[in-house]
Amino acid sequence: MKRKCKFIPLIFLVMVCGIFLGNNGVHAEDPQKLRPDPQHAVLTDKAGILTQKTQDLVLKQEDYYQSTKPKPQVALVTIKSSQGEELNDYINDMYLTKKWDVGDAKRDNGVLIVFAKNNGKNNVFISTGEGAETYLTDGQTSDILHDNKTLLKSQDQAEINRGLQQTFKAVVKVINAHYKLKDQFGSKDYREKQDQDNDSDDKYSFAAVAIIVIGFFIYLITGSGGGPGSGGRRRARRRGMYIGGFGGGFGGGSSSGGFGGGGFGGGSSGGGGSGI
Amino acid sequence: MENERKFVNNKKGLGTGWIVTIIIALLLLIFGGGYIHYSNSLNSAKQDYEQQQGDLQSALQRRSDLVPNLVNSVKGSMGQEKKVFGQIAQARKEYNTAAKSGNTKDQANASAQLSATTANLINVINERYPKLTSNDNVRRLMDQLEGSENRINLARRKYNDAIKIYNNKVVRFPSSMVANMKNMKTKSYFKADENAQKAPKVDFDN
Repeated sequence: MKRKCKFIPLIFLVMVCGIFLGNNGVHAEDPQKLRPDPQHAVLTDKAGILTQKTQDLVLKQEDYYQSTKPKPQVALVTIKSSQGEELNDYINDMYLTKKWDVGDAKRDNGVLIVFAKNNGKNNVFISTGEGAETYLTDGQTSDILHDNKTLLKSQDQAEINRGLQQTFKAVVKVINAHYKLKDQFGSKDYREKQDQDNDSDDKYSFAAVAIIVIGFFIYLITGSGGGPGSGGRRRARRRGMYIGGFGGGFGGGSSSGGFGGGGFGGGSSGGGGSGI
Repeated sequence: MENERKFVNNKKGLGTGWIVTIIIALLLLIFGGGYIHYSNSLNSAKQDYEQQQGDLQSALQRRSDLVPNLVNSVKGSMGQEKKVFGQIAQARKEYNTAAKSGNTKDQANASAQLSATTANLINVINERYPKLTSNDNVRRLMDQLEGSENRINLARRKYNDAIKIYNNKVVRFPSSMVANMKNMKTKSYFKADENAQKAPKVDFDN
């Protein structure tokens, strides 16, 4: 019993460290460490270039797609640099982490649009899932990128955004035609719902850290005091703290897993698509 | 008293019998269960790499089928690049032979050679035939080929990952014992020799 007690502070420490390390890892642009945005997996703007309009377009479409039966997914990722790799190799690295399983698991109908600034080279790649590549062929993705090449290669942020919007819409059009879906750009009540999600998510991870810190202090205080006969109460308290600790752990997990915004459906890609 | 002693004796006699039975049963459980467990895990690792192998084969075949499409659509405009086309034809032939032989090493080498020669052709088109690059049909074909190349890359990495898991199970104790009994051997990775990966030289000056 006593030996066990000694490890409790250690467990807390590891948990606290884990949360901070986990958050740091999210910012890295290494393809092995790159993770989908915790609030909305389909939109990860690491380069910080997307306007509200572009973001809304992607999020509304996702919202709508999740209400359909085939649940296709189109995700948009921007990065500052593909770390010296060709963009297609960078995306392959991303896929091999199994964190970017865009699209429905059975239909593999995900599409990943990745934009890499690469010092003004503006590389774009439309990567298709194994199911999606049957109706959105490499020839078609090549056409879509070629049609929007001038906008995408522009050094003007507004034009890049327009290029990405048009690319996104062109991909969506092909998917909608395949699944015979009518509503092009999502439901109207989407914005409010998203705002609420954001709020609760932030509060949650803050509360998680707070619970752990408070729990640790309670442990320090109760651990030093307590006379004979109070064992039962102490045990009860400790059990309470265990629960607190576990709750905190889960809260931390949600920041890297992305529950609230809806994650990816588990679709896989065979490496199809094309880039410019 | 006597009854009690009888009971104890009885218990003793039964006890040794039971103990032996239990030990045998336990040994059977441990070895039998262990065998089934490791055998299953080896089999599923084998299934995994076989599936990845299928994906890799179809990606390779896809490229092999696409290459002539590009070659045919540009050949007319590239009369003087006979050497480039000759190399591609040779690489395709070697790939087809290797595909039929089923030898992983040969296939990896032939695939690397075909990859290098087609990349070469795309380079030549980009560098010397701007008219062709602006042709939608040629651009599409080139992008399709590059997409094919990427599929092969991804499939190859997934295949090698699956092979690694399988090989580890074959060589590591205790599953290595079961692998030995089932005569399962390590499989080679899909990896080309250094030489095969080198692109044939193109002389841009003549």
